[in-house]
Amino acid sequence: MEMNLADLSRRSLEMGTCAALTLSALGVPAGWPFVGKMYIHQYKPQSFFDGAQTWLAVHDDVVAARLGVDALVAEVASTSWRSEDGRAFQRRMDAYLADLRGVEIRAEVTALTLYTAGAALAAFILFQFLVAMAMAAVAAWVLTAAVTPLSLAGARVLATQCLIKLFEGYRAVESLLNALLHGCAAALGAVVTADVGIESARGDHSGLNDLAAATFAQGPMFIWGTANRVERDLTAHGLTGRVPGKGPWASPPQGLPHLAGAKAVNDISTGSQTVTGRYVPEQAADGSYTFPWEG
Amino acid sequence: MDFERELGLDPERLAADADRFFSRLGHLPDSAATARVESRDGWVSIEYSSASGVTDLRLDPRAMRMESARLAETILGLIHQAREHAEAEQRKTTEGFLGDNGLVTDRQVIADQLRHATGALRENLERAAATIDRVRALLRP
Repeated sequence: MEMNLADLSRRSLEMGTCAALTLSALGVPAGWPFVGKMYIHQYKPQSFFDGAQTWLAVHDDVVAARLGVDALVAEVASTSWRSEDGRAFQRRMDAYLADLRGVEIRAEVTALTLYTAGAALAAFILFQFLVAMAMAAVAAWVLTAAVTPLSLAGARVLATQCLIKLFEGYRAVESLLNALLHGCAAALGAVVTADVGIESARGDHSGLNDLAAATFAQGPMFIWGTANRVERDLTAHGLTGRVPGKGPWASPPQGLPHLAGAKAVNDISTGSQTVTGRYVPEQAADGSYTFPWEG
Repeated sequence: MDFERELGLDPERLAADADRFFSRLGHLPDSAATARVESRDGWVSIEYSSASGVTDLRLDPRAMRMESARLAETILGLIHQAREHAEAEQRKTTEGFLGDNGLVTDRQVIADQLRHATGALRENLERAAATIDRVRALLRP
């Protein structure tokens, strides 16, 4: 059976726990703090992607409804219905259209936020898998390095130092994830409670569209290494409504072709990809920890 | 999602290797490697155990007629040599026990990918948080 993100998340916890247990038996207890964290960070990001897609479908439906009502009102107005009743009808329909625009924006923001949260969680799962693998590799290294009592003592020190630094890196990423998820929760709360900005409701929400375009391209960007290429694929295929490959990005959200257009314009005008750009992983890697076998 | 492409390694194979590693830990060979070396003239010989260090030192009566400094140098040299042999043997036994395991053969790839991922992910999470802040600003009352 093919592994999905939830499987990978569960496997990370299993391997992290086994690695911590092994390291502990070898006299290196520094693996345990990871286990509690990995237990907490178990996610199924697919539900976020599904939610985003549903809300984009809502957005598209409301846009279609608004355009229909708009056309109908314009037709009625053009028949010179200039009585008091006509003006009351116009006022009522203007308010209704503004409400529909508000629903569009709320749907778009909800989709964008859910997609961002899902992509962040997916990236964190991949990161956590690498951490669990690194812990297991350190355990295997201690076993092979500790060939004498003296070398075991040295190996324990090196492994402990490595795990302490690794945990610092893990906590730094976790802290950023928590901050982002709190921001997403606040944005979703604001969608329900806050009035949509009046300028946006009057129709000029190109800023939001730009953000949405960047965000939907940003999902794959969370996945390092091939970020630039994947982003190019997504932008190019978003324009034609097709995305290659399998996985969460295999079926683009319905609004993506439209939104990808805005992003492509930005890419061309700035001469670089707006989302990754200088943030390509090669330049961003912090190199903050070394592994014992690299000494 | 193509995990192998995103991670730069095959997660299913590595997970299986890790399972194999953890499941075999209860069957680790408990015998220590032992090495015996002797001087070129055969007058001095040392036995060294990877678990307990020097276990035997034999001196031929002729070695007692050697200059003390030279004898000490010979003994120390043999101890180093025996220790290297014993440790190499022990390491070979342990690696043989682990077999062709990705946790050993691919550990540098794991290290590189993790370092690479940490920096990239931090940058991306910061950017995403900034995007969400801008979205929240759009929803002003």
